[in-house]
Amino acid sequence: MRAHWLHICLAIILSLGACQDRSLFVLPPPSAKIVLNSTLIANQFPLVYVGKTWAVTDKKPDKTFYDNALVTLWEDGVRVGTLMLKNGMYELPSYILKPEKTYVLEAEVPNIGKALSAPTTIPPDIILDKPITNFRFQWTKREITLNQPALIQLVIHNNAPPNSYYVTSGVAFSKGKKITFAPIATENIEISSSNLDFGSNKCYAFFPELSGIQGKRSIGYNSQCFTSSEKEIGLVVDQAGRIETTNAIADEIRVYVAVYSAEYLAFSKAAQAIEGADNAFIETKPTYSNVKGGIGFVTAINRIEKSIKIP
Amino acid sequence: MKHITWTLLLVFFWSHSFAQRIFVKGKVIEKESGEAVVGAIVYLENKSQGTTTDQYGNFVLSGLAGSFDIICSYPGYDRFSLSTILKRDTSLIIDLVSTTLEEIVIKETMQNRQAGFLNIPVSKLKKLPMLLGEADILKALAMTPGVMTGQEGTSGLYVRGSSPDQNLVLLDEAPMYNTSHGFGFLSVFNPDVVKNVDLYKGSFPARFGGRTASVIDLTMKEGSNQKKKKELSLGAINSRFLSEGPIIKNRSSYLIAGRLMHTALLQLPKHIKLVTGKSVQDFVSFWLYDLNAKANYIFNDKSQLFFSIYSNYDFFKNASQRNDVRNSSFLKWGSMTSSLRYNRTLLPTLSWRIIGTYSRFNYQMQTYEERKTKDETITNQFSLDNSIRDWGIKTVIEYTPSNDYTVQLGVDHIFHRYFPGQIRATLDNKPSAISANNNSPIYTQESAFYTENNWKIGNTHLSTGLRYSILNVDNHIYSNWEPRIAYTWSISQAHSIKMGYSRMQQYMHQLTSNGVGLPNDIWVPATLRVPPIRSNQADIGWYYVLDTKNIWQLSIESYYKKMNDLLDYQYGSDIIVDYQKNWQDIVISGVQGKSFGIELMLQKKQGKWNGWISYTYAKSERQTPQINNGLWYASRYDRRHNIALIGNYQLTSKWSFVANWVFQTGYPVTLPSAAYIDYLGNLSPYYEGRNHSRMPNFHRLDLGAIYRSKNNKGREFGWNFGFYNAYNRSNPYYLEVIRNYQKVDEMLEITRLSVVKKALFPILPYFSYQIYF
Repeated sequence: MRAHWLHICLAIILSLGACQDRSLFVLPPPSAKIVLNSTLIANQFPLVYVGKTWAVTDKKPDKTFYDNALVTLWEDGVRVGTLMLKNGMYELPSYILKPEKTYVLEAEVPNIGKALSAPTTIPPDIILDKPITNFRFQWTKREITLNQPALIQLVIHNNAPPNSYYVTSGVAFSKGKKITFAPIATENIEISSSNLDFGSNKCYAFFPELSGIQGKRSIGYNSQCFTSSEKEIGLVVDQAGRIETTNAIADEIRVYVAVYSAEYLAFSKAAQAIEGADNAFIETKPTYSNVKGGIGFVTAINRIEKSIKIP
Repeated sequence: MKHITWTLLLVFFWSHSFAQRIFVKGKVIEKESGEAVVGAIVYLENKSQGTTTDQYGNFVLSGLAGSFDIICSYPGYDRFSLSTILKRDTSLIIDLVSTTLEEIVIKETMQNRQAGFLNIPVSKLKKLPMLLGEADILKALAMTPGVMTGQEGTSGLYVRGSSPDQNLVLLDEAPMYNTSHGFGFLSVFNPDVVKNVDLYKGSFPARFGGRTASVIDLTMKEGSNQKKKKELSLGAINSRFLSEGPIIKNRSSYLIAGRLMHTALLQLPKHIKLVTGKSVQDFVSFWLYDLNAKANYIFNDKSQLFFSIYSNYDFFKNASQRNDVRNSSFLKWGSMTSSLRYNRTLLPTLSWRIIGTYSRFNYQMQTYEERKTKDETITNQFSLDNSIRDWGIKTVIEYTPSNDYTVQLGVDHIFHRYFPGQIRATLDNKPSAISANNNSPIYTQESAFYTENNWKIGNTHLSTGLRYSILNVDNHIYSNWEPRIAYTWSISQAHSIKMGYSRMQQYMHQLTSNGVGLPNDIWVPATLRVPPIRSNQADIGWYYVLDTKNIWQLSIESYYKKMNDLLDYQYGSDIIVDYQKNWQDIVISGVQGKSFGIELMLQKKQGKWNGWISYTYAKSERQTPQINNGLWYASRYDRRHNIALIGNYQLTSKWSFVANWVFQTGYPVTLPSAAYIDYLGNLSPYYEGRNHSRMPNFHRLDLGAIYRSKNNKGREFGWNFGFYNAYNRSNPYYLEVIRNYQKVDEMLEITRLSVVKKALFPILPYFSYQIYF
């Protein structure tokens, strides 16, 4: 009888101990801040988001942006013009951003204040040799299964400011449609992102996927690590995959190259906030912002796209 | 050598100048067991002069030849008195007998101790209800002013706004590096074997060094040298045993005690499946043990040898296996301390002690994955090892030429070996990293020379000390003078004022995971790049005995502490996450710290109702250019308001009840200050800087009942039962920011953030059963 009682008590205690309370903790509302986000892309018109902040635990407001902001673009210290609101974004279609020019964005919202982005310079145009492609590539270096891999060798002539990152990606197309479902859409031949020391290697970093495929990131190469003014980068791209549910064989590969400033990396690293259970063990990072008087991130990039037809 | 000769000559002449005096060199022991009594008051009644027994129960009293009325008292024991005529130096053994009386008059308990000192009888600390009913001496200390634990489920103590690594924890004079058992849910000290706990929060005696916040000096029981005794305690989760007795009656004794957590037995069927290669899912096993052993030998009334050893071990394993895939991860950690001590009385006024110590702490973490394909078996493995090991020797000469003066001269030397972490990683059968972080063993030597002087002048007591400490690391020498002073002015029998100043130097750091009691807190030495911690602390206090029987006591203390060269992590860094890097690259050194506090304690020490109320107001801040733009920020150890109410009620000789309630202001934490749409177009939290927010306030009530009786065979037995967190307060262990997704236009989108309180313990009943043989 005593043993039976001990077992019952033990079960109760263990089950109680395993409980975890999931009650919500309400955080107080912050003082209103202007959010200023933009990627200033060479040879395109400026597109700027001027957003609101709200209490962390509140529901997302129906309208997250300010519709009464006065947004101004400055180029090399000279006022370019005022951006107009369209579909939740402020734009200036009449003006095309130029490489090697330095831009500042200013947003003023009545009763809230004024936010000013840090000066950001659009990198110069990318100089790229014609890609050399091997459509019958046999890849034995890494144990990855690829669908008919093609090797594309890119030679980049570095003319970007120090510590810029050249980001590359490629994706296969079939009859003008992107083959979105492939085991490995693109692999860089020089480094694998699954390497244990990838995160600490200053020569490589992750950037947003240039081809637009969701759930993937592109690898960027630090121009500081280039041993000469030229850099050869190898990309392995799948030539087969699926478009929605249909199997597809590629007839075209599009290659993307972009150049980012090192500031993007600072933003990107901080954006990977330590959250969840990890937060009990590791101090989280403050969110990166280069906006004075507000929060957000404004950066400038230059990019090109090359099409390679599969014979 | 020349200096030592001069010192000894000085000692001799001083001794000679007091040659007309008679010295009583004595020891206070518990009659029933022969155990030395620590902290007993011994005094000459007609001369109003007295002293307190040291860690070994020894004391020295002196007076002019003639009649002596020697009194000795200690809580829980009958008052001892002896009237005798002495003409020459004498040795005296005082046997104390357990009392049946409630009221005991104790003189000088508060007057002769310095500010920042606290001693609460272990018997009282043991009664406090704790998690799983397991008495926990360290956690009980956290219910005294100026001391607190990190959060629920952690056992590291934050003393006066400092981190747990700044506490020097000594077990029989050997340092301990890990005080956490069971992921911090209980401390490593078996309450059954601890005889005495002294806590120093300030005005540190010069004999202690190497840490900057506190000294927790624990003394193990020696074991009865009179008769054999056994105890067995069966709990729902843990069980304990203790065995003690004489090896040679009146001359030598032993003590062995152990604790075992037996929850792993519940997983035995799954474990068998795992070993036999059968399919198993979610195998989780955790167990721990600790073992204490001690022996001593009395050569004669002038010399005694002690040997004590302590070992503990925790093991956690998580595994699953299917036909072709095996996953497992384990975490194991353990520590061992040992000390060999020899005490010798050279003259009635002069004693000498030499101590050899060994301390070790190590942990290992490993994850393992094995996949079988048609052709091969692919394994991925990651392991991390970390350890610290010390060999130490210390010696001290203590000279007591009169009741009013004592001097100690001592030398300490420790050989440290730190192994901050060896990483091994295998990816797809290929070694991917071996010691990639370049963390090879680091050898350092730490030495200290000190003198400690205690004067009693009229109704004042002055303690001065000077410690010179040296660290030799990487062929570089760090050294520092550490002055100490403590002054007590007994204004009257009831009132006293105490004040003190201490400079402390700490030649090691702990890379900690935010104070959570995981063993991945890594000990590292001060190096060329990471200098040692230094602190300067001043404290002042007023002490008031409210009644003539010394039952009610009130104390108010205040302190201010400045700390230099503390460590903090860089944003987003952790020794595990950044294992590729050398630890020196992921920390911010040279962090400044300051803390201030007011501590209030009202105690009722005797009677059917007894207990205490403590309140602490405290502030602890840090500053470094690399965090929060160089502004001072609240440290993780900052708790503004702390309240503890402890009450014991002895209903009958068999039944007693205990209740404690604790309240702490929530600790500083980094939480997002706003939600917004980020650069990538996602709803995100916005984090501004470190420790801008606070956790919810912490409070908890624990209730316990104790029943003691004898069974038909005359054996004593007892039941402990009660409730931890009696009103089921949800005290979060951590807060989790969660992104809530919804499908919008066929795409998953974050529509809201929420912060969830993750609490560990609801109301938890506990019970245990003890039997004494």
